[in-house]
Amino acid sequence: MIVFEQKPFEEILGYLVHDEKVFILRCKGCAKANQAGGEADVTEMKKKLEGRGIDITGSTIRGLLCVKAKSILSELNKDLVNTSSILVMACGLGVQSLAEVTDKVVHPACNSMPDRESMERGKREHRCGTCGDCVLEFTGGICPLTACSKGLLNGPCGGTSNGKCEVSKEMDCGWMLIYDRMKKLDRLGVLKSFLESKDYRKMQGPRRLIT
Amino acid sequence: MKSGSNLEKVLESGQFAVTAECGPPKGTSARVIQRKGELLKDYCDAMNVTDNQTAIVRMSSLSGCILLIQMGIDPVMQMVVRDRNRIAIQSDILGAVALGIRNVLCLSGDHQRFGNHPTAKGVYDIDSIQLIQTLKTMRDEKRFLCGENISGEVPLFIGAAANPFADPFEFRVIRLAKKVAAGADFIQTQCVFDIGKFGRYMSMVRDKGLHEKVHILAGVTPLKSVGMARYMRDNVSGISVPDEIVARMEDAKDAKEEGMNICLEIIDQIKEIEGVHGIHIMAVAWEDIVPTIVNKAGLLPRPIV
Repeated sequence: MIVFEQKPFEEILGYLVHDEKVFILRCKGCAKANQAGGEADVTEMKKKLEGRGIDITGSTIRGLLCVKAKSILSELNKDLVNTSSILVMACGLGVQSLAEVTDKVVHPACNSMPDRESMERGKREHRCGTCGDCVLEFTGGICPLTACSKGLLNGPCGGTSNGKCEVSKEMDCGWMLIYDRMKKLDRLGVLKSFLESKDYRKMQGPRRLIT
Repeated sequence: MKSGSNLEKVLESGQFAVTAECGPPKGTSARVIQRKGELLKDYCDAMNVTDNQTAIVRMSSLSGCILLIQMGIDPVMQMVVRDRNRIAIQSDILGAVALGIRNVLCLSGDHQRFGNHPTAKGVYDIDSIQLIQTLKTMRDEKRFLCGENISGEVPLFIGAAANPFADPFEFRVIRLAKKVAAGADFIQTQCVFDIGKFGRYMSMVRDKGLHEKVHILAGVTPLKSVGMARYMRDNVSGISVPDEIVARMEDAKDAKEEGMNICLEIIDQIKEIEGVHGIHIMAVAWEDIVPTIVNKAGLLPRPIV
């Protein structure tokens, strides 16, 4: 699940040239998770762009863009005849999947965010760093890579104050959470063990499409 | 001797050590470092050169250290893991040793969001304890972190920081123990204002016998003004300034003098604590006061070892 939010309108406008003919394509795959308005989003984007003199050739909501980009594109072939570019309201994966199957210019309308959907709808959290080398066994089921601002593996830095991170008084210190949890579990002894430096190759991903 | 540095010799001879701090300039002037060096040369056993402290870009710690070496001063090169990955760190260590640097202080570093480049990507490829272990492996086994051999000796006196005042308090001694086990030879603590809390911390340190395995230098900072006292109490994470000290600063006719007196009282109390082997004076933007403090604290002359 990738969470995304719309880019500032002026930034999107900056991507488009004077006489560009734009088709708006919104992915509906993650719309629920992203709490976005779907149809309303698209209508508003169309209205705003037209208000600034951009020629909109059409718009639609289809999904899942990340896995069905090719078939979605063939369905839209007719609509895209007079279109010079596609404005994609989707995550980075959706934009890339579409770019792979079309020769038209593809503009991203959204930023993909480094958080995952939490159990509670609409509340965003970044829990798993997908590092490929899980250490949760040693940290009470709380990930130091994502919960600590510095991703420290062997305990808190010197910046913890009243249980909060030095980065923000609003943010819990990840290592404080880990410590409290381990104390509650009577497993503080585990925190004495030294965690070796990580193999960050595992975090890089394959850098290719797996077929 | 692990490194033969002046700091190591003073500490190993059992004498109470004094280190001071030198913040490099936001510019290219060697004179800034040299002036601080001249001022503090006879009043400390080694001088720390900070590494882009508070994540603000300054002259590199390594080059500041070289300028001090040219003046006959034993530098402590501070190194944060915020800005360098394991390749750059080990490379800088080789260069530092080649140029005569012997003391290195291993730190996490203030988060980049505080500094003048808050949009920077933090590195944190390894953490400060893994950095200690890396330096120990380089020195004792003459190997890089990857296991490959290093040509030549790597004589280092390995330092680490400790903050007895940050949460969770009970974990701080465990973390110190981890740093000692990883290879720390000396510790410089966050500045002590809350002597009661520091005393409790040191008692836990002694219970674990850590004071016999590592040289602990207690950090002190003279308060220059009421504003500074309040700022440190309210805004600096991980520093504990008791209200009583802020009140003393507020009531004082001469805040600077009171700040110095408070600092001297703290040093006197620190000297009485078993297991503390020295002080580290961090006179932020007030280096001029260091000679007076060292003199009035009865810590002159500095030993020749």
